Amino acid sequence: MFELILSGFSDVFTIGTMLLIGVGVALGIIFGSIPGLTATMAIAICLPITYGMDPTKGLSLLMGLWIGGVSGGLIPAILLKVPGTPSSIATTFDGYPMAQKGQAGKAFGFAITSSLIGGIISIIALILISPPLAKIALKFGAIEYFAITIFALTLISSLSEGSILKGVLSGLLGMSIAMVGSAPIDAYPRFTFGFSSLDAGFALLPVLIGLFAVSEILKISETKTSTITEGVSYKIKGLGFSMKEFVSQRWNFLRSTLIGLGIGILPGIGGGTSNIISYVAAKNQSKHPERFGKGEPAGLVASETANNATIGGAMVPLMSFGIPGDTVTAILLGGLVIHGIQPGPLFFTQHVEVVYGIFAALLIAHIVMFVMMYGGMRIFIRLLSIPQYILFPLIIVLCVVGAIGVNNRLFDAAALMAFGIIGYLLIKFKFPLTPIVLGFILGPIAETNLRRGLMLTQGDFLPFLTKPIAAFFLFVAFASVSLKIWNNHRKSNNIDIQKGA
Amino acid sequence: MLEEKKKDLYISLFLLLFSIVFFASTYNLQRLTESNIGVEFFPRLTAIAIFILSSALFVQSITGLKKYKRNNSGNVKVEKNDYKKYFTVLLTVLLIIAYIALMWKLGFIISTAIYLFLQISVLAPKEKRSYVTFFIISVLTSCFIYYVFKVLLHLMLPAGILG
Repeated sequence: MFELILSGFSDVFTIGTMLLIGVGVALGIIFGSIPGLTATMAIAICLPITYGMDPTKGLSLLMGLWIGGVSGGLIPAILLKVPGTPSSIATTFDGYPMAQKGQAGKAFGFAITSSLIGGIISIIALILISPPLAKIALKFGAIEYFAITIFALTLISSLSEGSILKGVLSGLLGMSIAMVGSAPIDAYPRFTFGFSSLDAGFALLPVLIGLFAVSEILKISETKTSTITEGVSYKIKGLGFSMKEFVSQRWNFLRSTLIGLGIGILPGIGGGTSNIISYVAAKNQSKHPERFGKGEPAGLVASETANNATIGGAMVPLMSFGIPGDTVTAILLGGLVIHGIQPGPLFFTQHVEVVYGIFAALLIAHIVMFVMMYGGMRIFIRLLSIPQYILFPLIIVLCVVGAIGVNNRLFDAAALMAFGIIGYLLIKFKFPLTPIVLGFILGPIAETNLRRGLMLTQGDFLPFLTKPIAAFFLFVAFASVSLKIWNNHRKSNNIDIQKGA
Repeated sequence: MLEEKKKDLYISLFLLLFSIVFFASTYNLQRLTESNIGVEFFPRLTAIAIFILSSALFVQSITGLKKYKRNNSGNVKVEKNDYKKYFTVLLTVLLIIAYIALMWKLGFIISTAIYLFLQISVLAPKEKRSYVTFFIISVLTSCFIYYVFKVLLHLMLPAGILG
C-alpha cells in the first residue's frame, strides 16, 4: 500500500495539479466564508469545469473546494457570529465570544489548527479503512446493495432535522424526480410526456444547483440586503495559542475527530450535524461546562475538528461502496461517473491510481488550507464585505453557466430554474432539502438493484430477507425508523403531559 | 405556529393529489421485459408511500390546528403577512427566466451584462443604488466570466449575435 500512496503523491505533486488544489482551496474558503454560499455550491458550480481535465486533476480541484469550503465557514462564525456554512454553526457558540473578548487571533489559531488535525486524521483513517472495506464490498451482490441503499435512504430521512415525516417525504420526492427518463434495466421511457429532452431524465447538476443554490438565493432576495461586515482587526502571534493550551485539548481533538469520522461514514448526515454533536459532547465531558458559550476554546476545537473529520468519513462509503453519504459526495459521484469511473469496490482494482491520487489530494489540500488561512486571513475577511446584492446575481450567472455546461442545452438551464422554484417552495414549507438529492441519487440505485436482484432470484422476494448482509441492513433501516417514530411519539406525549392537556 | 400548521395542511393536500396523479400515470407504462415486477413497480410503491405519508401529515396538521383553536379560542391573532417581500422574489424569478430565454438569442456576454445590471438593481437597497457602478460591474464581470470559461476552460457558451 505504501507504494500506492507514494505514487498517489507523485501524481498530485505536479505543477498543474498543485495549482488546481491551491485555486480550489482558495475558492472554497471564499465560498465557505461568505454566508449563504456553501461548499456544495462551489463544488456543483465547478464540476463542469473538470469535465475536460483528467480525473486526478479534476478531483484534486474538487477536493480543494470541499476542504476550503468546510474550513472557510469559521471566519464569519468567529468574527460575526454567522456561520459561513452549516458545518460551522457550533463554531459561533464560543468563537464569537472569544473574538469579542479580543481573542480573535487565538480563536482563529485554534479553529484552523483543529480543522487541520481533524481533516488529516480522518483522511488517514479513510486510507486505512476503505481498501479492506472495498474488498468486503466485492462480495456484495444486487440484493445486498438494495438493502444498503434502503438503509441509507431511511437514515437520511430519519436523521434530517425537523419532522421525520417531511424528511421521508422529501426523500420520496427525490426518488420520484429521478424516475423521469429511461427506466433501469429495460430503458423504457417513463414520465417523459413526449418531451425528447426528458428521455434521459433530469441531469443531477441542474437539479442540485437549482435546489440548493438558486432556492437559497431566492429566499435571500426576500429581504433587500446590504453588506455584512466592516473590517475587524485582530492580532495573531505565531499559531495564536500556546503549546500548553494545545496539549490540554488533546483528548478533545481525538474525540471530536472520531465523532466527525463516524457521522461522516453514516450516509445522510454530514458536517452540518457533526459539529453540533461534537460540541455537545465536549461540553458534557468537560470539567467546566459553564465556560462553554462564553469563549471556551474547547468548544471551538470540538466544532472545527469534527467538521473537517466528516470529510474523510463521508468519503468512506463513496469510495468503498459507491454510495454517497451527503450532497457533496453525491456530486463527487456524478463527477467520477463523468470521467468514466464507477466508485465502489471496482474503483480500487480498476482505477487504483485515481484512488490514491484522491487520498493525496485530500491530505495536501488540508495543508494548503492551513497555510492559506493563516497567511491570507486578511484577504478573506476583506472579501466578506462584498455586498450581497452584487454577489448573489453573480452566483446565479455561475449557476446558469454550470447548468448549461453539462449538456450544452437550454433545457438544463430551464430545469435549473424549475428546481430553484421547487426548492424555494420546499424551504418555505419547511421541508429538508438534503433528502431530496439523496433520494434522487439513491432511488435509481435501489430500483436497479431491486430488479436485478429479483431477476437473480427468479422473482422471489424471500432472499432479500434471508441473505445475512441484506437482512442486517434492512433490519437496521427498519429499526432506525421505528426508533425515531417512537422517540417523537414519546416526546410529544411528554409535552402533552407537561402542558397538563 | 398557526401559520406552520396551515402550511402543512396545504402542502399535504397537494402531495396527496400529486401521489394520486403519480399513481394513475403509471398505468400508461408498459412492460418490456418478462418478470413479475416491471417498470411500474417502483413508481407505484413510491406513489403509495407518498400517499400514506402525506395523509399522515394532513392528519397531523388538522389535529394541530384543532389543538391550537382549543387553546387559543377567542385569541384569534391575525398575523399580518408581509407580502411585499415576495414581490422581490417574483421579480428575481422573472429576471432569471428572461435571462435564460434571451441568452440563446443575444449571446452570453450581452444577456449576462443586462441580467446582472437589472438583478443587482432589484436587490440593492435604495441608499446603495449607484447605477453607474452597477453598469461597470455588470459589463466587466460578464466579459471576465466569458473569457475565463470560454478561453481558459474551453466550455461552450452561447455566442448569439456577437458571433
